[in-house]
Amino acid sequence: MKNNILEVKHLFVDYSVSKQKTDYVLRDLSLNIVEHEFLGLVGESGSGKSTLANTIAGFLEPVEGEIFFRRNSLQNLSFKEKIKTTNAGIQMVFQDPYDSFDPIMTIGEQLEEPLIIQDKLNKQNRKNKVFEMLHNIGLVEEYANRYPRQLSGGQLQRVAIGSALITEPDLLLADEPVSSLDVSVQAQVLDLLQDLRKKIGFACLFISHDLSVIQFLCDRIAVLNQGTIVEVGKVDEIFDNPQNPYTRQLIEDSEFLSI
Amino acid sequence: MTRRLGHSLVNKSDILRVENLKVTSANGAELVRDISLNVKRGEIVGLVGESGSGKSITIMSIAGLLPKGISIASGRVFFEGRDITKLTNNQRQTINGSRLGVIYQDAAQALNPLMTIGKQIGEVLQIHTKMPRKEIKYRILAAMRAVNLPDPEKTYKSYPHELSGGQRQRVLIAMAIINNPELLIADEPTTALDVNVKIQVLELIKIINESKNLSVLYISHDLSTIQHICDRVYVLYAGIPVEVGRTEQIIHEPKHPYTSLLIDSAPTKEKRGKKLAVMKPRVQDQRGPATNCQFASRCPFAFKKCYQKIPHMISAGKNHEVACFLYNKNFSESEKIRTSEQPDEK
Repeated sequence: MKNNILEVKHLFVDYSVSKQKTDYVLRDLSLNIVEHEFLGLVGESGSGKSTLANTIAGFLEPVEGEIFFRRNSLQNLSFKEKIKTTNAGIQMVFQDPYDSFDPIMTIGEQLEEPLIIQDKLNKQNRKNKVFEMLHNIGLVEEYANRYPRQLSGGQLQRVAIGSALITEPDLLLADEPVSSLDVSVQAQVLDLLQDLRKKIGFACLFISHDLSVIQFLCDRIAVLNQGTIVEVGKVDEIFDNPQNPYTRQLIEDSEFLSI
Repeated sequence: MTRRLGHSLVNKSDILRVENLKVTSANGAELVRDISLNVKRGEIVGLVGESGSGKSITIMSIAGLLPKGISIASGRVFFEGRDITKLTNNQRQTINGSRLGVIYQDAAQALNPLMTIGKQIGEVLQIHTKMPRKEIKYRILAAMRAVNLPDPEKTYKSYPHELSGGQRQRVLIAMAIINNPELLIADEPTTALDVNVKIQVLELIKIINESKNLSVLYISHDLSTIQHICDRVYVLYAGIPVEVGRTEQIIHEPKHPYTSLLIDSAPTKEKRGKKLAVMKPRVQDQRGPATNCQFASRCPFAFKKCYQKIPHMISAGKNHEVACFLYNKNFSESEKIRTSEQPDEK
């Protein structure tokens, strides 16, 4: 039996300012991710996928419920304390790589930044690590001196994955990381995730609205509808025998559209 | 009517014909290299290609909306038999919005946030017709019903931010079709939408196409949406069409290596744990004049000739054409087999 890396228990999240309102974006949401597991999260726009990732990452504070990372509760901690508790063990990749980077920092600097914050390695070791990661993501060393706009969308998304994984986190939150990419570039990024998974070993919450991507990459799948998880299970089992009508419709629609 | 009749004698079936279109930017970069395509009346034609292949520049050229500094260097665009590449603004007004409708990609950005939905849909009629106000409103509500917008009377008074992404996309379709155009150009109308909404929008375009005999030029980077709506498909690579055929030919019997690799790049359950990227990554966009096959550097089958000459479209079956030297009959069979071994497949 593998250990849970992440446990989310009865999570309630809302964006409303007043405390009276109970218009929750996430309602009584519970899930877990075990070590080295890829959990796919699907659901239509507005279902709360990104809200969940942002809450786990600590950008949002839940109204109720608890999040455990390596059995440590992240409840009632400041953002800094959370980073300390998780030891930079939770990292995130976003949909649009051009929005994720500082335009006036070089690729090398951005790859190094998480290591500086983590504060474990000296300068030389950090540099070595950056070059090792560049190699891992399939870019030659001279890319360290380039700026984000000098890279293509696919290259930059690979850098985003590299900078998320450079601290060797236990959990990667990937919020639609391949949705804005061309099919051939998407293929490269998915290959990279599979490669690094074998090399480094990490668990992943992989958000996508594209079921075929999840089927390709993930071990389990959780279906989110209106802030609640309506079905969760092994990818094959869910696809072969969906129980929830919403899941069934989602699979039917996506099969209609696949080639 | 006589005007149209005269033109239809030139070419009876093509509503749109693009001939050897080349579009360049001020610094000489070739954004569209050499595109020829045609759309017959009542036909839905797809234009597929990855980012940078020139899809959007092509439709901007057709709609006369090229940004400053980018212009048509050569080639012609015939709409209903008339060359529309050198129109004045006034002449353009007689086409755009009345005979030619365009749906733009990003529904959130294409709408005016300060204008009600009803007004935006009706603007086309206000500008292009002398219809009385009452009739305009009637037509707006009819168009909103045609695209399945919920509660038209209420939505009429709503603002764009009050609608969902799928609803906004439908507003754009209503705007594009309200004046009964002959040709609809749709630039990735389903990209940002959920699967179920995607299917609804595709069905909607198909229904309008069938009921009004509307011709459609449908642009997408995504073959999976194209397969459900298009009669024929052009596959674009680096500003040049590399293959054209009926949709089922393109999807099930692709001839050009780029087309088949594009189809093979899609993730599936069966490919789990295997390497997905079958195409070599794109190195750098060559923006100078093309002197050889643009796909050669990424093609697993490329041989000497591919680096020396530009392949022209040749027949690859009924209604099916491909621009690739692998299908060139003059080329000896033995040479092809020797060079088509894939050295870097692992």
